Amino acid sequence: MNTQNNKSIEENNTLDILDEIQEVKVSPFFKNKVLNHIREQKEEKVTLLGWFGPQLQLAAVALVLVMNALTLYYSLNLQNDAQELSGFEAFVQEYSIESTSDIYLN
Amino acid sequence: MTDQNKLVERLKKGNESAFSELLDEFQQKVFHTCLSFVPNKEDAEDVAQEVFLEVYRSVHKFKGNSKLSTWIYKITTNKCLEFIRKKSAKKRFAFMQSITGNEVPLDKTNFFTEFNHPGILLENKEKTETIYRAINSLPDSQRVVFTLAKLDGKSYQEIVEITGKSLSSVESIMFRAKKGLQKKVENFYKKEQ
Repeated sequence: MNTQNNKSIEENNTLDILDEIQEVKVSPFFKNKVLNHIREQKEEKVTLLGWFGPQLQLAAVALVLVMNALTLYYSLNLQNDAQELSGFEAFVQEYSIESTSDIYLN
Repeated sequence: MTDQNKLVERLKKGNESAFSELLDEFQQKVFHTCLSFVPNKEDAEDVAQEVFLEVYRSVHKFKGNSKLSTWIYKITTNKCLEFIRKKSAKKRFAFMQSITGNEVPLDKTNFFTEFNHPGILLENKEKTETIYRAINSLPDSQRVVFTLAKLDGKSYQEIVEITGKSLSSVESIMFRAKKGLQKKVENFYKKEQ
């Protein structure tokens, strides 16, 4: 009985020990260290995309738009050509009735 | 506009003096929380530094729905858990390497860090280390609530705000954590006898 009591007292004491932990002060250099890191990150940001200013951004957007317009224009033209071919020329090609053929007989 | 809102606006603009003010107000509190989760001064400082860098990186996402302090403590808790998970994984990897023959120095215990808490009295060191190890084996939710309440000294209301759980949920988690710890400590003494 006595040993059981002692044991439970010891268990309770063990958890109470957590209340005895004293406050630890942060290192005096901590603040400067963090501020230096923040400054480094700021500089990195600037050097990474610093050259890509608003004027260049506008030029890049304009270039993409022109490229898209050209692609659309050429793809539409190709479709028109194909449609033209599918008329009379396509008929001629289909039945091989061209007047000038390059067939050489040996 | 409240003082907090003014500070947040300045932080969002990347104002360095605002970060300096933020550090003056929170460095000790954040470090204390980190040391409660990670009982090693150097590691705790590294995690605290990571917390402030995260605040710098993501302050633009802070909407002001909660207090700035609550938001910072949320980041702190997440960073601490992330650190513990990473360190524990490294430890397991080192253990596997030691089994497969590639010798890597392994600590005596399976604790994720070298126990080095300057606030613990020398005569209490062994017992406190035992409890920290027991806390480390609790499920995440119990570990967070117990650490914030008992080691960091936060009120239940603050824990409710940080974890986003209800008050009754926090109370029941705390009850289960204490019970679980009591059992683990009991087992420890049984093994010792």
